[in-house]
Amino acid sequence: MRTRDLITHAVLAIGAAFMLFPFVWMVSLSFKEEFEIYDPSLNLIPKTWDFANYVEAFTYGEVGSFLVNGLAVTLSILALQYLTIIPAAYVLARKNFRLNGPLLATVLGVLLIPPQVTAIPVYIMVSGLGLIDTLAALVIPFATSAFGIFLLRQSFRTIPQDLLDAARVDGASEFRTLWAIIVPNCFPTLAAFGIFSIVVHWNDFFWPLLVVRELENATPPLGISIFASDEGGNDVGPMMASATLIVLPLVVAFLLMRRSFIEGLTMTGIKG
Amino acid sequence: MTATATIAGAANIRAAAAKREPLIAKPLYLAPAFFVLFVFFLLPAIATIAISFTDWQLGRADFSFVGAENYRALMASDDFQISLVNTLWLNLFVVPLSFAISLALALAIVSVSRGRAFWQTVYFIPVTSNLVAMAVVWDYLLHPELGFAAQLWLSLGLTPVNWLNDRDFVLYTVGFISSWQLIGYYTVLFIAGLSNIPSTLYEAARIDGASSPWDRFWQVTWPMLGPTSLFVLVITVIKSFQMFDVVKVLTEGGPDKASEIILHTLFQEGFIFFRMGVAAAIATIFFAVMLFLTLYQMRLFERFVHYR
Amino acid sequence: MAEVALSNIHKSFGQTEVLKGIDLTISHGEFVALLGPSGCGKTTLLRIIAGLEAPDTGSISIGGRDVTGLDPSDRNIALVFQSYALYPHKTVFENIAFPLRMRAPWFARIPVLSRALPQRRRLEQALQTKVRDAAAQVGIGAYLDRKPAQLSGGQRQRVALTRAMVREPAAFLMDEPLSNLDAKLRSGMRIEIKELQRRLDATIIYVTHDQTEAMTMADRVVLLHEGVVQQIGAPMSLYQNPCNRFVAQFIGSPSINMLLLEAAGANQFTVNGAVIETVPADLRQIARSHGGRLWLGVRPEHVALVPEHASGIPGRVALIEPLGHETLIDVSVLGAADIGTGPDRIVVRAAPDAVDTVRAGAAVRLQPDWQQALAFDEQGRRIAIRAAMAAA
Repeated sequence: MRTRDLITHAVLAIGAAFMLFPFVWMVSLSFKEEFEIYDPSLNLIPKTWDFANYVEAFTYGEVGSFLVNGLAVTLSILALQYLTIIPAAYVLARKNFRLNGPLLATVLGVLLIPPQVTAIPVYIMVSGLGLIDTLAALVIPFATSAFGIFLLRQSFRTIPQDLLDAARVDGASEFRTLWAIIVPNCFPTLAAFGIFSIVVHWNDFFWPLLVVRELENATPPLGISIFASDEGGNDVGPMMASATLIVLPLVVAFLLMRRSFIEGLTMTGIKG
Repeated sequence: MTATATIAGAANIRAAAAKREPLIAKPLYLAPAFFVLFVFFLLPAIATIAISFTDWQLGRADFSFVGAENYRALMASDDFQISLVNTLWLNLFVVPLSFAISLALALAIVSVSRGRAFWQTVYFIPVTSNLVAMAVVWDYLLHPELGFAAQLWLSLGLTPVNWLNDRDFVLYTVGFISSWQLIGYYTVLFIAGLSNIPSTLYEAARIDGASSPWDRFWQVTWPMLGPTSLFVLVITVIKSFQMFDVVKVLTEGGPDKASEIILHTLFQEGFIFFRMGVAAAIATIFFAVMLFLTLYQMRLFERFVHYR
Repeated sequence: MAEVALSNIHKSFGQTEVLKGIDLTISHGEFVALLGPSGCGKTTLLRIIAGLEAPDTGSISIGGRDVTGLDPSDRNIALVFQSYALYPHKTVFENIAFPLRMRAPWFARIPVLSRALPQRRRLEQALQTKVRDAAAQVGIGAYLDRKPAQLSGGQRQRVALTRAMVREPAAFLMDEPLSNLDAKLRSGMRIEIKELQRRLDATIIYVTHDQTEAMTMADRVVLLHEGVVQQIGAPMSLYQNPCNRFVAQFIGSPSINMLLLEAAGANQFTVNGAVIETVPADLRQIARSHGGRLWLGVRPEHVALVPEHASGIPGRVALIEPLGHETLIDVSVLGAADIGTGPDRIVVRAAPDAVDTVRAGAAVRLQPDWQQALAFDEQGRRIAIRAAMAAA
């Protein structure tokens, strides 16, 4: 029994080493001096720790502006999504009206549309509004999420009516009941959706690729892809430094909130 | 008499209640979300289908309806066929590979008495990382002269392969990098399915005579994991069809269209050559495939959740 | 033939010692109940017999064969689980047939190919008959093609039983098999299991926390507490002749009343703080020889409720519980709570018509039947009154 466990751990460790090797190599290169990067010996630990690559990533690579743009875009999207999906999910979950069924069907229907399918008309709309190459173009099309509405509606339906009645009897308005009673009670779902939304939009590449041209408006994935294609393999050090800086925030957040991340990204399995 | 009257009365009351139900409630709560859903999701999806029947090109004001001409042209086009075949070939490579590896990983992780959470975390790290950034890293790792893989190959006495520039290898390399990112995700889904199999079933099987792990896997684990397996299988197919990032960043479909896949073709037609009608036709075909897969997946998801 | 013998079984989980040296022999055809409160180790003991857990020390033998190190599948035992553990993906028929299929000779277990073998066809026919007969015996013959999810709780229970008996094991192990059924079904199943046992002449080891199940079904009851066997015996002997205070208090519902007899002066005794003149001489003597304190267990049926002016332990009626065939009267003992000299509640089992004569809140007195009292020392050990008298 114990030896079998040991063998399993050993096999898992080999697999894990393989899975994590790109990260290790990335970080290792990002700290190496230029001559060492091209050295054929495969040292994981740099001979001299060099921060010049990071300095260069910020000065030439504009990685700072990618990160700021990424943060601004993901957080704006999430804020808008919360503001739109919470009231809509509340009405769909707790109100009886004749259009409830058709509206819910609409939400489910939108869930079936892959983002690449709507890209052409949305691109035309965005360019018609003169928003090409602005952060607004990255945010506005994602101001709500059908998936979020659906997820939240399911969660809102589990709150006992007694709790809402009690709040109304205690004198809370409907608006207050929603934000002070329902929302805090569904915090885990909201957090899971938040993680899902941030991960999706921080990592999204397809849409920024269509509507952003200038490096200064790029989000992290687009930024590093432009950087990589402009400089090619010439500037490996700064590029690895940029990659590290782009990958790091979500990986660190994941390690800190392991459970919520896994829950947020797997229960959203329904949204491919 | 009275009983019938009461029942009829109750029915009337219910009918009246239904009639009294308003058409809509709290329109101001619904408006923002549904405005965005209609303008940025539903209408564009319909518009895409409509555009696919036109010869419209970006930047031109006039266009005309050409019926199914775009579809005919696509079917006749060698390039599109290559793209389609590559996409399917990629699926055939990526889906069984990801499925088998993640199932094996999940079985291994569930079998150890300590350290489950640790291994789950380790294998999940690539899922949260940015695929574009990591593709750049992989690009350098696989560099035919300077990359780690080349050095490793040399030290093993092998001739280094130009993984991303060799017609025979490029598609597998792309599939490999994409699988590398998602393996942990499928593993976690499998682990969830495995942890829902009641341990008493394994005990009952042992007492009933299934003494080897092999028997127990085929008699208990595999059938009980059925819904999860199907669910994971469909997700791997969906994710494989949606591959784009690695191809765009590392190969642009090359060399010589050897890694040209459907979403990259869509991007090229629409946003490099500005042939919106053709791009919309590709998007519509893609939509149809995804629609089928997603509908099937939603049905499976219910069973997957039901089993927990 | 199928005797189950345990000797010196110890088992710890981490720091907690769950079983502290269990010795037990169960003879062929015997129905033994392992009874005890939750956490007493009874389920662990059953799992050790089944081979699902390995004991830290000690040995298990079944039918004279030492099975201590053997895999569960090699012990020739059947286990009925609390959750039934039916395979949800198999039909009722396949659930029942599963242990037979797993024990079929190797050539019959090769998928597809074996179908061509004539031996295999004969085996399959024998299996079909066996499963159908067994299913018919417990009345689930009509459901063989269904999946477990399509059955009621009682039917699932029967499938689990059939799966256990179809391969004629040396012993049946049952882990709270009735606890997921509603009360009415449970009493019906008790009778059925008992009849099944007689018909099959089966050895059954039955884990339960429900004393009614243990008392009504078992030939012998093994009462476990904190990993130690407290007492083994026929159901009535545990009730009438418990060997310690735990057994006395665990068996019987409502549970036995504990009274504290204390020497209060030269020739004066108190019971739960009240001076009582009627304590017999033998009890006084034993109390004196035990440092002036003695615990007395008196069953509710051995306490009489008498009017306030009579002699006895003074109390006040706290609650009257009419149960139809009898009435239980809860009396709170006056002053006991204040002086802290003994339990402050005494339950009296009275005739049904007591409902009409007794008022809640009324002051009453209680007269225990001292002849029926069970004596225990400070450590809870039973003191046999006659033997103690003879020794003195």
